[in-house]
Amino acid sequence: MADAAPPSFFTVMATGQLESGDIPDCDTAYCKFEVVTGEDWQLLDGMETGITQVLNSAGPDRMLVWNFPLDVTYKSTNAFGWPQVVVSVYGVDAWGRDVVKGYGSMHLPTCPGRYELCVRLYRPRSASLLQTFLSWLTGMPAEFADPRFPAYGPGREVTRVVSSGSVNIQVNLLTKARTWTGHGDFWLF
Amino acid sequence: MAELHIIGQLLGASGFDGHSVFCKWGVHAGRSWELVEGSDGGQTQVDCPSGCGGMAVWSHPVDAHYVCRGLSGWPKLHVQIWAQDVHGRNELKGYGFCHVPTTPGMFELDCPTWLPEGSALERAAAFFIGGAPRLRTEEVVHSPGDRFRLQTAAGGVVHLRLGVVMKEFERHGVVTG
Repeated sequence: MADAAPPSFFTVMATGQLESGDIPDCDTAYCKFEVVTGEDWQLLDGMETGITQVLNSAGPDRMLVWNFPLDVTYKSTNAFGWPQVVVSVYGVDAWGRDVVKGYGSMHLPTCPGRYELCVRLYRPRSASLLQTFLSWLTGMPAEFADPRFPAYGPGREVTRVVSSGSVNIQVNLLTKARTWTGHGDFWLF
Repeated sequence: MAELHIIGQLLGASGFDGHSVFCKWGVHAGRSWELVEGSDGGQTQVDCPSGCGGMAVWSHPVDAHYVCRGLSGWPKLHVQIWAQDVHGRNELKGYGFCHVPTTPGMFELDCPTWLPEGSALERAAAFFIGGAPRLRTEEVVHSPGDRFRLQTAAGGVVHLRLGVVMKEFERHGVVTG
């Protein structure tokens, strides 16, 4: 930068939980999550990835309740590459195989506060009729080769998906911004 | 120079009658704005909605980093919605734009869309041959130019969730609310 501003960094702390899922025609499921960030982001504390328990939904409303803690703290000098939570939900079928039920992603909020995020899920469609037939025959639908795919923008125009279901995430977000010299708050969230 | 980050998602769209839809999007900023990192345009996945109240889900990430020398030409986001049929043919379903908010924070935005209708002859041709009329100059979507005599119909709504992060605006005397 031409501007000789002192190098500044800020800290983002997110606490919360993967609360529940609402997926039609699915009563046994677990959820994987991963927090994907840009290059300038450094993890200070917490786990970037996790897998919840396998949940068997019961009760009248058939909600999948995971109540899985999410707790990460990051430090960065650049807001580009803001953390995204990528979730993938897998069901378990009668043979004990993991069947993908949906992928979803969402940026963490950029503003301090408490948020209830609803991440809508989608899963890829098979590329050809033969693969559609094979996945129907084996009961294994198409999956993304890279589980981080939902966090990336480029290359999406060739992807065809079907959307169904959602995951609810609760997030409390806190940011701390300060320049090295402590003269002022140049980051506004 | 002040910096602006636009961080969020094109969540999806509703009101497109259960078609498989995708979106071509772009950010248009004035001459005093420069994109440093990220992309200012792209195309989302094609989603066939099932359930979810007929809402198509794109969850397309948007992460753009701008520096600006002046405030004029504040970035705006413009979208084109296309529907894809079983044969892979695309048909235009709507144009729309919305301004990026000028205050830091998280925003849930709804961007309504519209579609040029064309003359009676063009509509008859579209009915038999397919292919809705399109705009010749797409700047009409986001510039306050001449839209007089353009006959349009309302389309669906695009849902966005944008976070705005501003850096060093206040140092240059810009009140950000």
